[in-house]
Amino acid sequence: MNTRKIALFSLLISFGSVLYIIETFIPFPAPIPGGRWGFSNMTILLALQFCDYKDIIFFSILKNSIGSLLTGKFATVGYLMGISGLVAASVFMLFLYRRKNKFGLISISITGAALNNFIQLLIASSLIVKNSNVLVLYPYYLIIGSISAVANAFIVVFIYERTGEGIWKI
Amino acid sequence: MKLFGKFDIFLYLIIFSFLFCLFFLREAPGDVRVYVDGDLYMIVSLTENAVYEIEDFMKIEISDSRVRVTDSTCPDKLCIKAGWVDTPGIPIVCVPNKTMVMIEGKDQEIDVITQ
Repeated sequence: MNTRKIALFSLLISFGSVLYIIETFIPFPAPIPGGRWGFSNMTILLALQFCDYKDIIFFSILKNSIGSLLTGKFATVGYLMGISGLVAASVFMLFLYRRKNKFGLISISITGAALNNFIQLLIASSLIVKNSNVLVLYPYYLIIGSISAVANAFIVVFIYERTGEGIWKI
Repeated sequence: MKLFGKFDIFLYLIIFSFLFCLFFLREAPGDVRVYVDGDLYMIVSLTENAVYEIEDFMKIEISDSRVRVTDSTCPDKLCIKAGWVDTPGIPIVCVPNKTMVMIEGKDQEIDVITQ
């Protein structure tokens, strides 16, 4: 952990936590409980460039914990679901990103959203509700998650073009 | 950072085939159950087209294996706006009347739904 890495980490974590609060104000179009757009996950896409596997787990846990503390969801069932989904998704996204030039950012982002929602629903259906009917909701989550995942990928590429490669290298 | 890669199509194929498999997980719908104040109020068949009254505050209509709330005394009418429901396990809830209308799965008994 050098100073540059600490600065980038805190910048992206605060950015992600603020987006986590703001996205709760955006109305969610489907009648499903606990649905969120997931715009705060664009910071994970930005963090893919300088993180290794240990860093990305640390990063996603911190982003979700601080965001949940600020929105008042800390240590609830939804927080447990969110954190396990996000850690699994971000590790898999980093795995895909490390395969150089094979996968584009849009497909990485959509895969991350799909895995995140699936792990969340799997935990909800196996540990909390104990009812496999919850998995029926998965297509709704996947369609809405894909919309915001594509938007995230475009925004990240625009940010990357404006700022240049320099500041994301450690 | 590139938007597209050479092997993107494989990821999309995996996700969509997975989604396709999940559609078979939908179970056959059973009966419609109406809960008032947490207690089971009545069980009606989903196959007959009919209109049922719940006490004096709500009417539900069943048609083509779907169910909806047609009339309610609650102020916001959210239960009416929920529209037709044909999927087991997704409830229509009216909070002011403490009423829940839900299609059961055929095989299993659900003991609790958390929202």
